[in-house]
Amino acid sequence: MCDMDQLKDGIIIPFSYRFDPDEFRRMLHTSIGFMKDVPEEHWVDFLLKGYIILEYEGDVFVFRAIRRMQTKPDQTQVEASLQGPQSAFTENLDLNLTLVRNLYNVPELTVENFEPQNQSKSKIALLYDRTRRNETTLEEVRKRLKNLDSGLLLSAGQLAKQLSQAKYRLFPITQLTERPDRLSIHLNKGKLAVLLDGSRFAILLPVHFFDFMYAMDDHYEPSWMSRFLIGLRYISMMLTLLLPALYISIVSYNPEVFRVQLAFTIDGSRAAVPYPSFIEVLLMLFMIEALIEASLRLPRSVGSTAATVGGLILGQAAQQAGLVSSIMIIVTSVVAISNFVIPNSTFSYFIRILKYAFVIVSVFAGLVGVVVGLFMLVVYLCNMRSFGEPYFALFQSKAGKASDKVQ
Amino acid sequence: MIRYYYYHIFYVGLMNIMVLVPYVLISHRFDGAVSSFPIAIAFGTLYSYVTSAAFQRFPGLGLPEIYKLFLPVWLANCLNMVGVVIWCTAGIIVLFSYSNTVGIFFDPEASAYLNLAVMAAASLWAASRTSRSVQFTHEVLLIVSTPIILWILFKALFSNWLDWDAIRLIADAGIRKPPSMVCIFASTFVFSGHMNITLFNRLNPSDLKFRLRWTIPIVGAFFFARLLFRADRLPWHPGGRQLFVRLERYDRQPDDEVRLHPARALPVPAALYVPVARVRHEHLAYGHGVFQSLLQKVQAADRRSQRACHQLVDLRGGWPG
Repeated sequence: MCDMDQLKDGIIIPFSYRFDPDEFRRMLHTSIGFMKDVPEEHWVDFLLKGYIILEYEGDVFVFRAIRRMQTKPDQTQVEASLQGPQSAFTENLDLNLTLVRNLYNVPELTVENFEPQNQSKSKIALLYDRTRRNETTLEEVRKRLKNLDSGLLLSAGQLAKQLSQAKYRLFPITQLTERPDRLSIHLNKGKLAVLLDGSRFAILLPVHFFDFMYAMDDHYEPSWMSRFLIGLRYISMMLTLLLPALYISIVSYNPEVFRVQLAFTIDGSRAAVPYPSFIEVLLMLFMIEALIEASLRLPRSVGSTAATVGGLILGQAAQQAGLVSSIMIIVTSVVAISNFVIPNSTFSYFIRILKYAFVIVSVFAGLVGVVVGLFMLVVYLCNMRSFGEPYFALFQSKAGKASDKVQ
Repeated sequence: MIRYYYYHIFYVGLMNIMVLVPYVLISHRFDGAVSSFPIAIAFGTLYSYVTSAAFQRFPGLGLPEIYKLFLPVWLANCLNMVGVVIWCTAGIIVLFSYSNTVGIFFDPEASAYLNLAVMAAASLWAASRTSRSVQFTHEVLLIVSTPIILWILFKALFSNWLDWDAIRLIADAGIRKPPSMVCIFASTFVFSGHMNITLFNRLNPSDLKFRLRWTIPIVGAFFFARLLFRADRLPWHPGGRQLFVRLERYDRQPDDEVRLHPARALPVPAALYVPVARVRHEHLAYGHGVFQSLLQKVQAADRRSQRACHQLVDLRGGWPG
C-alpha cells in the first residue's frame, strides 16, 4: 500500500545518513506530511490506507505515503468528444477534484467529504456551487450519503443505485459521467455531483430526462448542427422503442395504415414466414440482443468476428430459410443501430428493456395498445422526480420551483 | 404557470368538438346552431372570466377545500359528493366514447370491451398520480399532439375537395335563425375547460395573475370555425346521424389521385386524439381526491390543504380577506 519512494525520501534518508536529531524533530513537528496526536483507535484505519506510523521520542506520528496509481488524467473512453477536452476522470479522488477545480475555478465550489463506515471505506466527495445549489436537495443527498449500507462499495454505479433507492424504476435518476466538463456544466446549473475514490465516474444529480440526450459535443459544435443531432437522437430513441411494436401492430392488426403497395410488399416478404409476426419479432430481437451482449463481453479481436457471423451471415440465412421476413431484418437493424445513438449507456439500457413492454402490449392490443402504452409512458415520466425535481417537465426552472412547494 | 390554465381550455375544447357537441349542433344546423356561436363565445368568455376571478381570491385551494372552509361539514361533504358524481360521469362518458371511437376506426374486429378495459386501466392509473404530474402530462401531450392536429386540419382546409359553397350556405342560412337554448348550451360546452380550475387551483401560487384571458374568445371562435368547416358536405342531409363527425371528415379526406389508400388517413387523427382524451381524467382524479378526503380525513394530501387553509386564514386575519 505504501509508496517506497515517499517512505525513503520522507523518513529513511532524514533518519539515517543525514540524521540530525534537532532537524529531524523539527521536521516531524512542522512538515505537512506528518500528523501528530492521532487517536490510537484510528491507527489501523490509517495503516490500511497506506499511511506510515512512526514513534519518535514517545510521540506517535502518522505519515502519508499512499501509493498513487495515477498522476495524470485519463483519456475519455465512454463519452468520446471530437472537439471538447479529451481528459477524463481517473480512479484517484484528489486528481479528480483538481480536474474539476481547473475547469470550474470559482471560490464558491464547495467539496464536502464523507467517509462511509462500510467495508471499502472509500472516500466520497460531494461537490456543489454554494451560491446556486438547492438546499432541500442538498440535505436529502447528505442524508442518503450518511446512511449508506455497510457492504462493499466498489463503483460509482453501485453508489448511484444506493442513492436512487427505488429498485424498480424504469429510468435512471442519476447520471454517470467520466467528463469533468460535463460535471462543471452541471454544477453551474446549481446541481450536485458525487465523486467516489477508486471510481473513474462521477454521479450527477438531480438530472432530467433531457440531460441524457445531450452529448458534450452539442456544446462545442455549431448550433444548427447540434440541434439537428439532438433531433436525430430523439427520433432514434422513438424508433428503437416503438418500431418492433409498430411492426407487430401494423402487420397483424392495421395494415391499412400504409398505402396499398407498401402493405403488399410487406405482406409479400412475409409470405414464406410460417408463424405470426410477434414470434418473428421476438426471435429476431432475441438474436440481436444475444449478439450485442456477446460482442460486448468478448475480447475485441473476436468481437468483430462474432458481429460478422451473427449480423451478416445469420441474418441473411434466416431470411433465405424463410424463418423471418426481409423487412424484419431491416427493422431489427434499425432498432439496434438507433439504440446506440443514445449518448448515455445507462439510459440506452433502460430504453432497450422498455421496448419489450411495447412489444407485449402490441401483441394483445395492437395499435391501440401502443398508443395507450405511449400515453402511460408519458404519465410515468411526468410522475417521476429526481431528488425532488420534476424529471420530465418542459421549461424546467419554473416548474421545479412550483414542484418544491406542492410535492 | 398561467399556461397550465390555458392548456385545460384548449384540450377540453379540442375534445368537446370531437365527441358530442357537433352531434347536437349539426343536427340543429338550420335552426339556430350558427347564430348561437357568437352568444356562446360571449357567454363562455364571461364565464371563464368570472370563474378565474373567483378562484384567484383563493390561491392554493381547490373547490373541496373552499367548501370545507366556509360550509358546515355535512353540507361540504354533500356538495363534494355532487362534484364526484358530476365529474366522474363526465370522465366515464369521455372514456366510453373515445374507446368506442377508437374501436370503430382502429380495429372494428377487436373486442370493444378489450379497448375499454385497456383505456380505463391506463386512465385510472394516470388519474391516481399527483395533480402536478397530471399537469406536466397535459403539457407534454398537448405540445406533441397539437402540431400534428393542426397540420391535418390545414391539409383539409386547403384541399380542393372542401366544399366552400356548402359552408357558405350553412353559415348564411344559419345566422338568420334565432339561436335556440339547446344550441347555446351545447356550444358553451366547448368552453368548459376553465372549470378544471376547481381542482387545479390547488397548484396555483398566490401571485398568479390570469393574463391573456382575451385569447379565450379567439380560441373558441377557432373551434367553431372548425365545426363549420366540418359541415361542408352535409347541407341537405338529415342531420344527427353522424356521431363522430370529425372522424368522418377525415374519412372523406381527399386522396391525392388515389395515391393514398382512403383508410390510411383514418387512424392518424384517432391516434392523436387518444392522448388528448386521456388527459381528461383529472375528472377521475377529482373523484379520487374527494373520496379520499371524505373517507380518510387524515390523508396526507388533506392535511396539506388544511394547513394551507389555516395559513391563509392567519395571513389575512380571517376570511374573506
